[in-house]
Amino acid sequence: MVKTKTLLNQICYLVAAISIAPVLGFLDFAFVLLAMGATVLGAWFDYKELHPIPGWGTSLVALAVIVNYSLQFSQEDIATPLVHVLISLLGIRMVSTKKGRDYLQIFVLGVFILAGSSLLSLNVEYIIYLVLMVFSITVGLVLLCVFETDSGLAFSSSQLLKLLRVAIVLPTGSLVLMALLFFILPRTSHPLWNFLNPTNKATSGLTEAVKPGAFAKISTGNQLAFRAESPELAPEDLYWRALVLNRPEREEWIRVTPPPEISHVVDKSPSLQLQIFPTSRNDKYLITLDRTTALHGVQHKKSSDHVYETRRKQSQRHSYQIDSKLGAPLTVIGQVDHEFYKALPEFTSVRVQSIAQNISVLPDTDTKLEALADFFRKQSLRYAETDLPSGPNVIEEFLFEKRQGYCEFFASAYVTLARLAGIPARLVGGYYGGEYNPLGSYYLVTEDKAHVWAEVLDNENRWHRVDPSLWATNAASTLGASRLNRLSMLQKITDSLNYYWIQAIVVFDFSRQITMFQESVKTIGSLSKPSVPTGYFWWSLGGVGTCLLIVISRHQRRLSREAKLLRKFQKRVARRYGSTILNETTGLSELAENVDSPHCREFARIYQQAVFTDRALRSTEWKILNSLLKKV
Amino acid sequence: MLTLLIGFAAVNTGNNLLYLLVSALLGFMAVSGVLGKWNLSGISVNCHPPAEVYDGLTTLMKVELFNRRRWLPGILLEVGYYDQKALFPIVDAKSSQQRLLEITFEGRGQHPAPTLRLSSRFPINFFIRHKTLETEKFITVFPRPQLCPMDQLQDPNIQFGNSLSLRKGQDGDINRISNYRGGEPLKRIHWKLSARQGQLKVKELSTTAHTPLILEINQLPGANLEQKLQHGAYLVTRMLRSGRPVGLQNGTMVIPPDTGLHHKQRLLHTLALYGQD
Repeated sequence: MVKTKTLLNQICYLVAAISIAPVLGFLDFAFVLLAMGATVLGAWFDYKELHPIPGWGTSLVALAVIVNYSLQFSQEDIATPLVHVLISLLGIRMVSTKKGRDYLQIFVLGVFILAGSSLLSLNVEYIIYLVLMVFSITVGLVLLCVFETDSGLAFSSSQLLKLLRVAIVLPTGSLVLMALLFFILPRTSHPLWNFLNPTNKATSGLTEAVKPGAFAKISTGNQLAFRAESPELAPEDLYWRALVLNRPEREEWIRVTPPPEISHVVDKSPSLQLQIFPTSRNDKYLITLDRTTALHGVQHKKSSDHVYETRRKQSQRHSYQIDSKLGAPLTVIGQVDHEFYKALPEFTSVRVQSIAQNISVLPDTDTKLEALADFFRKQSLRYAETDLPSGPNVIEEFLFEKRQGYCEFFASAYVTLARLAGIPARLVGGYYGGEYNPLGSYYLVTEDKAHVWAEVLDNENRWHRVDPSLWATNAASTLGASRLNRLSMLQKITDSLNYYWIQAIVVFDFSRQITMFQESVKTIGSLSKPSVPTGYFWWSLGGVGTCLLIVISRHQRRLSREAKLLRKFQKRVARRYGSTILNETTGLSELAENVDSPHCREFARIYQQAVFTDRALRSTEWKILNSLLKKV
Repeated sequence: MLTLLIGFAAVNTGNNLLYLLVSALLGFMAVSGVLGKWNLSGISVNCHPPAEVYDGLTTLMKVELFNRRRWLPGILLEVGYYDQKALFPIVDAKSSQQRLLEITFEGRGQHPAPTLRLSSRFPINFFIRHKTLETEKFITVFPRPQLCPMDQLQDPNIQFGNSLSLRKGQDGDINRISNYRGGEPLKRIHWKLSARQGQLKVKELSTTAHTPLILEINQLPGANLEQKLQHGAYLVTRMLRSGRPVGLQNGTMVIPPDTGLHHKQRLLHTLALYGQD
């Protein structure tokens, strides 16, 4: 026999563990030890049935803890001290004597700590803790209910199993309803306390200024930059455009407001629709797939050079949709400010200038561009991330001395040479490549895929993408391969989970709720119109029908031939004389007497003769009974 | 309260993880409501009062709870009668359990069977759901036996302990063991056997042979009718317990003297309904 109190105590330890686990990474180590120690100590006290800490003592400690952490509250960080207070209170409750109301307090504190953890992190692990918490607290509440009805109640293992089997309906049902309610609960488009939500420490491989030679080597992090829901594309199309760097200033390239111009993507090919899920970023640039024609789902500003900027910081998770025409040029209608796009760095070496001079004498832009490409190829440049050129004359060192560098060297050297040769050019910052996850049908792009390339203007006022890094002698083995490496199956699965979590839960907001509502209304509206069902519909209908048939046949199979006949008789009588005539306790003879029908009486007599003497119906009896049945 | 608080935080922060938590709590409230309702559905309660119920005397009534559901067991069901409660922790589907409740009726005659209250705190102790169980049964409450002088009624033929009869009495040896019917004194309950068999058993003693006696209701001692009937009930039970055949007369109506349980109940029934027909 197991006592209810013992079980209840065990549920409490579980609730304490589940509530502490998601916030472990945000607590001081000493504090974690204290919280765990309190839980273990509480378990020991419960086991030994000791109550060494008086009530006033625990109250005093609780007060001291609240005062201490209240002093640490600040507008920047409310959640961390709050969680510390809650865990302290939980620890105090765990070491104290536990009676009915105390258990309830532990459960409430557990829920509050879990809620607090959502203000510290938005990771997918939350759902695991939530499910575990719902299961343990609901089962705990049922046990508490038993405990409060009769604190001395004890159950055998079979009784306990029965109780738990019913109790488990609660969390299961709650979670099913949770999935439904989550999408219909009212939301606001601009929450007032948005500042309370976790802001991920944004780190971006994307820089707002390109300064080749600033570092002797670059470090690459593989933190997630964004995910893009898309069909699988050719590797050469994976240029994710973020910003344009249009002005050389001292030794770096920066972005200034571009001159006003009207430009379009003129391309007859169909657009490709993608959904972008960026991580928290500390810049305002929205990542698009080169070349994007439209962007929806987030308030933004579009510059004349097709750089998209949000109106708010990207510290919160969000998503947006883009329409793209892969690799299409950007056609400018009207005049381009050539002066602006031909502005040169303050210093360019004579050697670089002489190369540009040779190219500039060529008759047209296409020939010049071809010559530039030839020059880069002939230089046998290598793509490298260590032992990089540096110093004041970095372009010359890159092109003629070290002959190795990463994308920023290639792109800035190319743009400098192009501008020296009289071709309007600009640098484009973004990402190149990405791992495709077929499980979720999306690209996963990490910060180490940050890339810089160039755009040049041709004679017909069209901006073309040129990636000089691809002319590196080792481009295929370094740049290409590293940007397209494949994920392991485990990585694919875990990342898909994260992806769906963000897509379905984290970024679900008021606007998506409205869209969902509108789509539902549209679907309901279309249901009323006669339409030819699709293949899926028939398959689903067939599946449901088959399941029903299996259930009915299994149910029918359990009944004997005689029982089926009796049921048929009862149904027929109920139909003829009304269902009130039947109830669970009405016997066959009684029923026949009640309806006062000779056919029914005869049926009852023959049936009882056979069945009540424990023999099966003979074929003659069977026939008579069936004919009587028809006459009823 | 908790749901409201977290719901308020969710709406104000727009934090979808809080929305998830609120949804789970709301779902939990809905499911617990449904489960609580299910727990009381398909449950029937039958009360089986003892064969002898006396006015103003506390007796034990058997309460049988039947769970007619196919799958779901009944959890933490309580059958209450005023401040008394019989708890049924787990009643399996398609099965029944029994408990005893103490009841007391005031006034002789036909009484409707006590209205019981089926309640349960399951699944969580936030609300107690209940339903009142009405019944159409009637219970005949016998007059409360009132001690009365019996000098004139002494049996002249029998000296105490002279000869034993196989009839029931209270002064002989243990004759047999029978079920508790509600009227027997507590000292006659065979506790060991009751514990072993799960229902109350009483020792029936043998008695000595006696001269028959007819009680005339109007001639019974007592200041008013009620007292007369109470004395009558006492004499009927006392005499029959000692094995003396007792009859009853009221004008032309005569119940000839006899002994036995059935006869005793017939006499008491007549006394209970006297003047109420």
